[in-house]
Amino acid sequence: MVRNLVSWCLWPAGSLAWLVLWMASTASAAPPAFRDAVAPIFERHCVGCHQGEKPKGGLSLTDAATFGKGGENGPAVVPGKPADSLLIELVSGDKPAMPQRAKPLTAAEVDILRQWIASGAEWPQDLILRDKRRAGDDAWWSFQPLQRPVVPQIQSSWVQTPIDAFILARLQEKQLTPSAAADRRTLIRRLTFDLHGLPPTPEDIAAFLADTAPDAYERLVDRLLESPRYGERWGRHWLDVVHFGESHGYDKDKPRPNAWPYRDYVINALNADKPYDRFIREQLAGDVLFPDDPQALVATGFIAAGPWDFVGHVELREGTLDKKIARSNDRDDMVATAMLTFQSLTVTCARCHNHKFDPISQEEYYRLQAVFAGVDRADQAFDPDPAVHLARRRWQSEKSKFATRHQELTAIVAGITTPEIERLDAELKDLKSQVASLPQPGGAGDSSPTNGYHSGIEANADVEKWVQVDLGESRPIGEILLVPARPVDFPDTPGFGFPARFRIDVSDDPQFTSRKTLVDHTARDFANPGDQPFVVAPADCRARFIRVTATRLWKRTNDYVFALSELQAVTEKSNLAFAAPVTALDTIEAGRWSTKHLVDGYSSRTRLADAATLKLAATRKQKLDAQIAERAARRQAAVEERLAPETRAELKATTSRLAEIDAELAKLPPAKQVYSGASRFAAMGSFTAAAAPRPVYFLHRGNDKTPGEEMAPGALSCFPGLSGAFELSNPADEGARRAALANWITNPRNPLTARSIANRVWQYHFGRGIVDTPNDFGHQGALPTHRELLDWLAAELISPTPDLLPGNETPVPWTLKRLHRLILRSAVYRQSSADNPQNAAIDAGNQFLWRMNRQRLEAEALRDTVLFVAGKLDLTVGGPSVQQFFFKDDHSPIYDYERFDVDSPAGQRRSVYRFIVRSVPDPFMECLDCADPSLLTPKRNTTLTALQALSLLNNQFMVRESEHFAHRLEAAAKGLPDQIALGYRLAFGRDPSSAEQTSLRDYASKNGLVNLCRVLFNSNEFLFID
Amino acid sequence: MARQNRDRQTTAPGGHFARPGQNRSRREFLWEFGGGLGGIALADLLGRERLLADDQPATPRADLNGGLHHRARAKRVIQLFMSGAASQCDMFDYKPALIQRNGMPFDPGEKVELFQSSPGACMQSPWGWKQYGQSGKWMSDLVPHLATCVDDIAFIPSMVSKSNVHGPATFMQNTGFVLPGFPHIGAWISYGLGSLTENLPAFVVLPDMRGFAPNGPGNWSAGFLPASHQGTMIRPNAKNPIADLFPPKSAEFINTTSDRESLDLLKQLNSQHLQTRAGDSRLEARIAAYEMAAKLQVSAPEVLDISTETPATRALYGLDEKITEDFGRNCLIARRLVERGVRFVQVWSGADNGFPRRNWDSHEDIARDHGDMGKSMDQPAAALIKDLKARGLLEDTIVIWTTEFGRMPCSQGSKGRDHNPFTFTAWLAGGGIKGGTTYGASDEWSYKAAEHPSYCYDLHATVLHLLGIDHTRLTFRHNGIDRRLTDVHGDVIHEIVS
Repeated sequence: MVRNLVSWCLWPAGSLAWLVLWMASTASAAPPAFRDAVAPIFERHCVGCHQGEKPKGGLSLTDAATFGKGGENGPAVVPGKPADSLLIELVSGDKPAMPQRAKPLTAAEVDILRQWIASGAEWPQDLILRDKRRAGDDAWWSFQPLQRPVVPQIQSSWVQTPIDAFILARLQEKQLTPSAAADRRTLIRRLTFDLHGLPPTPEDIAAFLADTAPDAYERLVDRLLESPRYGERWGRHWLDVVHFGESHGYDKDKPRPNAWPYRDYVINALNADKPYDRFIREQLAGDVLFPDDPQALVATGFIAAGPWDFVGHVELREGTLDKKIARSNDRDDMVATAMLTFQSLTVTCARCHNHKFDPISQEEYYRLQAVFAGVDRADQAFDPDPAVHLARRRWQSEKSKFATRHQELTAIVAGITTPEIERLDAELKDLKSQVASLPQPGGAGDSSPTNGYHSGIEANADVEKWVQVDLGESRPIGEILLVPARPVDFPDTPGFGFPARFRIDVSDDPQFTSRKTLVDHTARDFANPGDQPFVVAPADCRARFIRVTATRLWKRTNDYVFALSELQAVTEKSNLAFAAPVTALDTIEAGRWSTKHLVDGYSSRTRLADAATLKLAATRKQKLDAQIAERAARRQAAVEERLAPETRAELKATTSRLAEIDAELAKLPPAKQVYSGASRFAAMGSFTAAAAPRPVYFLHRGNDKTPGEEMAPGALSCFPGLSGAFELSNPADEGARRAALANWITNPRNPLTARSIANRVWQYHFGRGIVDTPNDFGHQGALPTHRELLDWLAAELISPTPDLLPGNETPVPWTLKRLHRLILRSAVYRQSSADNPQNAAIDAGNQFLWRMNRQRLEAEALRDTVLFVAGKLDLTVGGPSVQQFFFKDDHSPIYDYERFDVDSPAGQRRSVYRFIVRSVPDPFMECLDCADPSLLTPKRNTTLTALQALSLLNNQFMVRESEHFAHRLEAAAKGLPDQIALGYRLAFGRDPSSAEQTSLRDYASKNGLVNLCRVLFNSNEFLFID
Repeated sequence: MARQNRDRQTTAPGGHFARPGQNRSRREFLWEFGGGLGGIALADLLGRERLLADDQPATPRADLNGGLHHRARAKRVIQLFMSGAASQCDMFDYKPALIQRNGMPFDPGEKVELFQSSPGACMQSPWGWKQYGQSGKWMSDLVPHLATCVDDIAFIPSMVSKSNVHGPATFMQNTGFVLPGFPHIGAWISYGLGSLTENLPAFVVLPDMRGFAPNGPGNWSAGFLPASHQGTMIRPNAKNPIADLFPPKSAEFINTTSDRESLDLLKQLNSQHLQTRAGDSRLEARIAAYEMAAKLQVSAPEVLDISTETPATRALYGLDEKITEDFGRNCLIARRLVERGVRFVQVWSGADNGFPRRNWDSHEDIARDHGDMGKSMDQPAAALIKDLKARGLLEDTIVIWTTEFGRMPCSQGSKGRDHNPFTFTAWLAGGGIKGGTTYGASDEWSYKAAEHPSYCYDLHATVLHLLGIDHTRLTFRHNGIDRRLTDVHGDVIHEIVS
C-alpha cells in the first residue's frame, strides 16, 4: 500500500486530488459485510488451524464468542483501530507471519480486514465459520476422463500382447531388460495358485507338460477360470477389500449367523463372470434396482459387511448423544467401504474438515453419509429360489390389492348409520369408557420406584428358576395375580422376563416336597401377556407358600431370565402377599430389582390398586363385557340390513380371498435370512428401522454435538463432466438414494471405477498394483508406474476390442475373466522370477516388472494347500460358514480356537468358508497376515516372524496334517524313496534331486516320515511360489 | 524423517518416485519383517552387511539414549488396564463436597445423560480418605498400598473419554480411536523402537485370568501395522502360555532329537532353495526366523518361571493371598519381562461385563464389587512400583495405570455407579515422570473435568515423548492417510515430566 501511494504521488497533481477523494469515499462507504467479504477470507485462510478445542495460538475464528475471547497473545482485533490490531500486524507486511506455510493474503483481502476492523469489527452472532480450504483443484491424473491410449509400437519377439508393449516401452526407457519365460512346470504352479489358491496335482502337471499343442497354455488358463475354485480364490480377495466379517466386533461381539449368503453371492458372481458394473449396482442397491432377483438383495450384504456397535445401537436410549455418535460412525463405515472399494478415494478424510489433499469438501462427505441415512445392518428375509421369490412377491402384491379393497369396503360398512345404530354406538362408547375407567392393576397412580424380581441370567432358555412368597400361615387364597414387569431402565419391553413356560404351585412346606399345582404351562410355550396380569382363581385353595417356577426362561437380548414385577394373593379382603417374605432360587439384587420388590405394591411403572377393589372391578367388568357383546351383535345386524347385497357379497368375497392368499403364502417354503443393508427389519431393544431416512447434518469438526444444516444426499463434483448432484423425485425413498450413488459410480463418465478395479486385478496377479496404493488414487496415493497401461486395461474393460482374444462372440463389457485372460497371456506374466543383477542394480524393487514377483502364500492359500497335499481338503461349495472354534454364547461370547478338533469335518473345508470372528481372530491365520475384518484391506502385509515359524511348526493343525500327509504317502507308495518322491511331487510339484533323496532318506529313516512331512510344510519352497 | 512405511519410502510426497531402484527390496524387507521379535537382530545383520540404503527410516539412536527424535527418558512401558471403568471418586479423586452432600439430590446444573439409568442422589465413597506422602495426596482406604507410593506417581484426574460405551472407549484408551482396526500403543512402540532383546517379543499382553475385556484381543491388535507388532498374549496358567510355543502333547512323533534334526534339515533345504534364488531377502529372513523361534523356546519358559523369586518378593506382590494372587503374578511377570528387554507389557485387571461381576463395571454395588477389584489390584500395583524402584528399573520404565472411563459421583440404584466419560483418573509413574504431582482437576463433584481436560492423546503423546519419540512424526500410511497414534491431537503434558 505504501509503495502504491508513492507511485500514485508521482502522478500529476490532478490525479492526486482524485486519489484523496477516492480514499475518502471508500472510508465513508458502508463497511464490508462480514458474511460476504470477511467470512470467506477467514474460511479460506485461517479457520483450518484456528478452530476446535485446541486452536493454534489459542485463537478460534469459528464464531463471534470464541473470536471475542482472543488468543494466547490477547485480542485479535481492537475494534475501530486496525493499526493497533494484532490480526493486521500478522497478515500484512513483507513476510507476513500468517497464514503459516501458506500463501499470504492479497493486499485487497488485507484491506477488507482493515476496513472491517475500522468499522467496528462486527460479527453476526449466528454465523459459524468453517474451514473452506479446497485442495488439489488441479488436473489430477486419476480424475481425468478415461481415454484409450495408443499401444506403443515396439519390434520385439518378447512382446506377445499389447500389455507387453506398454511394459517393454517402460523397461527400455529405464535401461532394463525383460526376463525370459519361466519353464512350464513353474507356469502351471504359478497359474494354479494365482487362480485357485491351490497347487496343481501331479497329474495336472504331467498333462500340461505333455500337451504340445500351441494353445496349451491358453487352454490351461481357460480351464482354471472355469473351475469353481476360481470364485473361491478371487472372492476371498474381494472379501478382504470390503472387510467382510461374521460377528459385530466391539464389546458383545455377537455372531452373525446369516452373513454367509453374501460370501456365496460374491463367489458365484465371480464364477459367473457377472459384469463389474452390475456387481457394483447390486451390492449398493440391488434390492431397489433388481427387485425380481433375490440374489440382488443378498448382494447388499456389502453394505453390512463391516463392524457394528451392538451396545451403541441396541442398548443406548434413543435421543442420547452416544446413540447419535454410534449411528454416525456406522454411516461413516458405509461411506468408507463404498468409496474406497469402488472409487479408491479417501473421502472419510473430509469428515472433520475439507479433504487436505483432494478436492473433496466436507459437505460432499456428509452428502455421501445422507445416501446411507435410511439403511442399517440387519437380517432380512429372502427366498433363494427365484421362483419362490417371484411367487411370494406376486401373492404379496395381490394381497395388498385385496387388502386395499377390503379396507374400502370396511369403510363403507363403518359409514352406514341409522338412528338405531347411532344410539347403539353411543351406548357402546359409554360402556367401553366404563370399562376403561375401572381400577386396573397397572392403573393410574404414583410412579413406581422399583421394577420387581429378576432372576440370575442364563445362557440357555431351558433352565429352571423359582421365586416364592411366604404368607406366614396356611390361609385361604381366592386369586393369584402375576403382574409382568416393564422396567424403566431397559429398552421399553412389556412382559419383560415373563417366562415362556411356568407353573404355579402352593404348599405348606417351604421345600415344596408335597405341593398342589394350580396352573401348569410347562408343556408348551405360553404367549407373553405383555402388560396384562396373569390371573388364576383356584377353587378351595389354602396354603402358606406360593411358588412360581419358570421352566423355560424369557429371552432378553442374547441371554435368558425370569422376572415379575408383582405377585398378589387375593382374598375377599386383602392382598395376603403384600410385604410378605420372598425367597428365590437366585436373584439379582441391584438397583430397581430385588425379591422384596415382588410384593411392594408397585408394578414396574405404577402403584397397584389394592386387591379388594380389583376383585370388585373384575366382577363389574364381566357384566359390562356381556352388555358390550350384546350391543355389538345388535349393531352388526342393523348394519347388515342396510348394506347393499352386492357390497355384502363383495366384502365376503374379499375376506375369503384374503384368507386364501394367506394360505398360499403359508404354503411357500420358509424364507431364509441374510445379514445385509436393511431399511425394514424386526426391532431389537432400541435398534429400530428408520421410518424415513434419518436427517444427516453437517457436523462442524465432525462433532455430533455441533450439527449444522441438514444435508441432502449426493456424490462428488471433482470429475470433469460428471455432476455429483442427485435428482431424486422422492427424497424420503432411501433406496433411491443408494440407487443414485450406484448409478453415479457406474456412470461411464466416472473415471475411477474402471481404473480402480483394473488395478486391483493387476495387483493380485503380480503382487503389486500399477498404482501401489489400491485404495488411494488421490494426491497422497502412489503414482501409477504404467499410467497408459492402466488406462488401456480400464478402457478394455469398459469397451472391449473385438478379436483381441480368440473366440467368435462379441465380448461383454465389464467382464473380469476377459481381463484375466488378457493379463495371463502376456509375456510379462509368464516371465521367470529369477534375479538379474544388472536389472536389480537399477530397479531392485522390480517396480517396472523386469521379472515376475515371487509370492508368499497367503494364509488361506497356505492352509488350503496343506489340507490338499495331506489329502484332506473337502471341496464342498458354499453354505453356512464352518466354525473352526469352540463357541459359547455369553454376555461377551467365547470363541476358543484351541478347543477345536482340527480333524472334524468343519476343519477340512476351504478357508474362504471359515466363520470369521472380529474380536477374536483365528491366531493361526492371523500370524500369517490374514486380513483383519475390522479393516478394509486392499493389500495384505507380509511378515515373516519367529512366532509365525512356531505356528507353522507346532500348531495342532500343522502337526495333524503332517500326520495325514505321511499316511497318504504310505498308502500310495511303498518304501521311503518312492514316498519321498511322491511327497515332493505333491508339495513342490517336482521330483527330488538325487542328493535330496539321499539326505531326506537318512533323516526319515531316523525320525520317521511324519517328521519329514512336517519339514516339507515348513520349507521356503512350499511357502513361496516362483 | 519419521519412521514411515513403504509407501512413503517408494513415493515421495506428491507421488513422485524417490530414486527408484535404490535397494528397495532390502529396505522393504526391514520394514515389513523387521518389527517385533528379532527385528533389531535382523537390522544388525543387514547393517553389518552394508545392505541398508542410506535413507533408512529413523531408528533408535544410541546418542539419544535409544530415542528416535530426541533423548529418551525411558525405554520400557508397563500398562495396567482396569477394564469395566474404575471409579476415580472411590480411589483417587477426593471430593469433600460429595461427603457433605451425601444423599442429597445430584444437581450439577445441567441435564445429566447417563448410560443405563437416571441420576440418583450424591453418593460419597464407602471408603474413607486420608492424606499421604510428601505431596499430601488424598487417597481412599480402598488403595492403602498405592497410597504409600503417591510421591512416585503423577495423577491426571481430568481425563475425558469420547465414548460412554465400554467397547469403543476401551479401544480409545488402547489405540486412540473409538473404532476397531487401529494399532495398540504397544504396537506403535514396537514399530517405532523395535525390540531390546532377540529372545522375547517386543509387546506382550497378560489378560485377566477370567477372560477377555470388551473387544477381546482386538484391543492389542497391530491394526494396519505389520502383524509382527501385535501383542503376544501370555497366559501364565494356561497349558500353552504362548500359543504354539511347543508342539501339542498329542504329537508323539516329535521329540527333542527329532526337533533338532528337523530344524537342521529345514535349514539345509532352505539354504539350497536360496542358492538359485539370489536377491530375495525374504528367504533369508525365514531362515533367521526359525533360529529366533528356537531362542524363544528357551527364554519364554524361563521368564514365566517365578519359582526363583524370593519369599519376600512373592509376599510383596501378594502371591500368598487368593485375592491378590492372579493380578500379583501377572505384575511380577511383567517386571520379569521388562527386566529381560520386553518393550511394552500390558496387564489387564478385569474381564468382560457379564454377571456375576468380573471387572470394574460396578453398576449395582460399588462397595462389594469395587471392594474386590480394588483389593486385588492395589497391593500388586504398588508392589510393581516398589520392586521396579528397588531394582533401579523404575528410572527408565514407565508404569501407566488407566481405565476406559470413570464412574458417576451420583448413585445408580442405591449402591452402584453408572458410567462417567466426562472425568476419570489415570496415573503414571517411573521413567521421566515427576512423582507427587497432580495435573488437572475435576469439578467439585468429580463429575466433569474442570481444569486441563486431557484425552488419551495427551497421555499417549507424553509416553512417546518420554521414549524419545515425537508423536507427530511416528506415522504409517494406510488407505491414503498418514496414520498416527494420536490422530490429529495430543499435547505432551510437560507438567508431569521431571
